[in-house]
Amino acid sequence: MGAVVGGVIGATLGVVGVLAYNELSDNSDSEGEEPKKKEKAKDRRKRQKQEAKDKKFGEAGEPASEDYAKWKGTQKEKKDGKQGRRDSHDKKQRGEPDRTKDQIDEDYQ
Amino acid sequence: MKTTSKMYEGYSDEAVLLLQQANELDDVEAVKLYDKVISSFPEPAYAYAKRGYANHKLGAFELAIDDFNIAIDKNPKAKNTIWQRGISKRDLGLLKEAIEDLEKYSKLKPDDPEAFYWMGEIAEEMDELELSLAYFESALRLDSGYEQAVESLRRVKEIIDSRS
Repeated sequence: MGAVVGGVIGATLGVVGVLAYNELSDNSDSEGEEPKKKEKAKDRRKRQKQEAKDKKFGEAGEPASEDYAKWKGTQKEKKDGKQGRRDSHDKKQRGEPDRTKDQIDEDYQ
Repeated sequence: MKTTSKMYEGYSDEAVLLLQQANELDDVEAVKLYDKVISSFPEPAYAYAKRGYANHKLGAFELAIDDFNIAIDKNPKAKNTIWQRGISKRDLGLLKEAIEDLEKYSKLKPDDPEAFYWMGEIAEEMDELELSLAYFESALRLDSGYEQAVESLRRVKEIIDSRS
């Protein structure tokens, strides 16, 4: 649908305007929501980098759980083999033991 | 800007601003600010502890331990920093030293069952099962409803039984 409407108003928008309009129209849905803005490549890279970092180290101020989980898994596998690691992985773990920023601050207040 | 917080003692107002900014940044950027503060104010302990914690979260455990060592030398009763150095040591595979730090923490905060629980976990990793049991029992003496310690105690007992 976006292409048809885009063609009609093409005379006033020009070729670039039509392409931009079509792209925006294709991102909108039938519920009539606001069209989504296209994410710039630079912003996308920044977002992906942050997501990868959050995944690896946890959110700011939160314990870095993944490193420990990985290390623990390796130790378990050395001791009990792959099945031991899988069993261990399936167990519910208590909260990680890393301090938080606030706990570190507490030492110096 | 004047601040009354003891943790900022020994820093200029500008350095305090940098330390506060660092709290809002990701760890890579925060470390850069801590570097800057430490290069201008090498005496106070606080920035070393904060940089150590940021380095720990970045997985740079040796750097973290170096920073925690300096911070603890300057403030030997910084119990949370001692705990965190123990965790960095554990993550680096220095398990015996990790337990030593958690023992030090326990002396400063003897009513915390979590320290005994984690010493039990680390002792188990070292295959020191009797020691591990003793730690889990200590954790349970402080908190009989500590579910994870109950579970770990049972697990270690089963391992001991299976070997005898």
